[in-house]
Amino acid sequence: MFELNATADQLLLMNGQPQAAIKQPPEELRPEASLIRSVLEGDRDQYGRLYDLYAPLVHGIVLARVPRGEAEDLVQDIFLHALKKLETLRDPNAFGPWIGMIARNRAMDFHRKSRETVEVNDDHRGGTSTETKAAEILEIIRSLPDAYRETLVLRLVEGMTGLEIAQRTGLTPASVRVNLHRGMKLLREKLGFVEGL
Amino acid sequence: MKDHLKNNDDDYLWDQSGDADPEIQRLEELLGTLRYQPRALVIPDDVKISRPSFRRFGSRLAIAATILLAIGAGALWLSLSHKEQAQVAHTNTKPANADGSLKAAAIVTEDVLEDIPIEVPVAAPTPDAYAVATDKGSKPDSRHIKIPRGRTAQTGPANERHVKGPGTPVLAANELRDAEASKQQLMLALRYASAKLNVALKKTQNSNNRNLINNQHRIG
Repeated sequence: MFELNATADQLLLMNGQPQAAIKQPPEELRPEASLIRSVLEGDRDQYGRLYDLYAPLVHGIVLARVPRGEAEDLVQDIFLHALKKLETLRDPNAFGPWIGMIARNRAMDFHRKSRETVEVNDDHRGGTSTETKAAEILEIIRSLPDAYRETLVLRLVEGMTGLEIAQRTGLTPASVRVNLHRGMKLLREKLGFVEGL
Repeated sequence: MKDHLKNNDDDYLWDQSGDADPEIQRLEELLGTLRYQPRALVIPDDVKISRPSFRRFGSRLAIAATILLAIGAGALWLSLSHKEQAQVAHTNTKPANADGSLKAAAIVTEDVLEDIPIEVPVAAPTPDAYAVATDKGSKPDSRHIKIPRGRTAQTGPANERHVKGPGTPVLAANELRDAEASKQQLMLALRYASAKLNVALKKTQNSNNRNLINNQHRIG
């Protein structure tokens, strides 16, 4: 971790970007805090807005760990579970990291349960050649270390920028930059063995 | 091999700014097909949104209460110890007797208690210093011990207060007698309990022996 942060600082220096330029916005400006307050006061519709804001994040986190066919339903389950437990969220500004942690735990539960039954990976089943290739690349990304695969999925699959990833996951922008850079490097190395890309 | 630390590569990977990296673009294009497809969240009616309750703040309140209690207890202890210190005699290394010996003592009579009840002479620091000053008019030593004003003064020989040393308790003769009587009672009780235990032990041993005899047929 220290190594990561140190490298991140070096990268920032090399790129010549002042760290303040990519600082996260002040926490009081985050929209989710007021949404969460409204939800806790009984306004269910506001939870729908929270869902719209954070569903791509949760989907990316889940997709980095479980088969694609399971991801959609799991995202809904995670948001319903989070709604039930919303009162336990201490800092409304930390909704992203909080629901991200729930998503990771749920993905682990999924694997624990699926070990008892037969694990079926339907990512490669049917579909166009593009989808098949995408599923193959996703499989390679899943074989990367946790920090890299999650960041890469959020960037390459969900189309989020590095800053958005940092804001939603609670990581520092420097860490996200390092994860993206190193993850991409590993992915390139592994993709060298995949033909037709 | 590409230098991935170049600004352009990193910037495009970071926020799609700078020169586009064709490899990353191709990956985005392919993997974008797996992107999240917006889907309405269906919240079942039975899902209830629980509001923040006391449980949420319970642990914080408990910690705050514990800290307050600890502070209160500390303050109480400090005030009590201050009161006790106020009652402790001023220390002086000079012996009480004029001959310079370490033995010193004081008699606190009723009059003394009433007239100058706050400070009475105390003994020198040696453990065996246990003398009694018989003269009421004898000069009080510069070592003094404070005696609570509310304490009942005794008359006659019983009101002699033997002061042993700076940190030792001050007991009157009648208090010493009471203590001795209590000690005797305690010793008697202990002896009685010991005798009872001996009887119980003997009974247990006897019963074990009896069992052995009774169970012989099983062994044999």
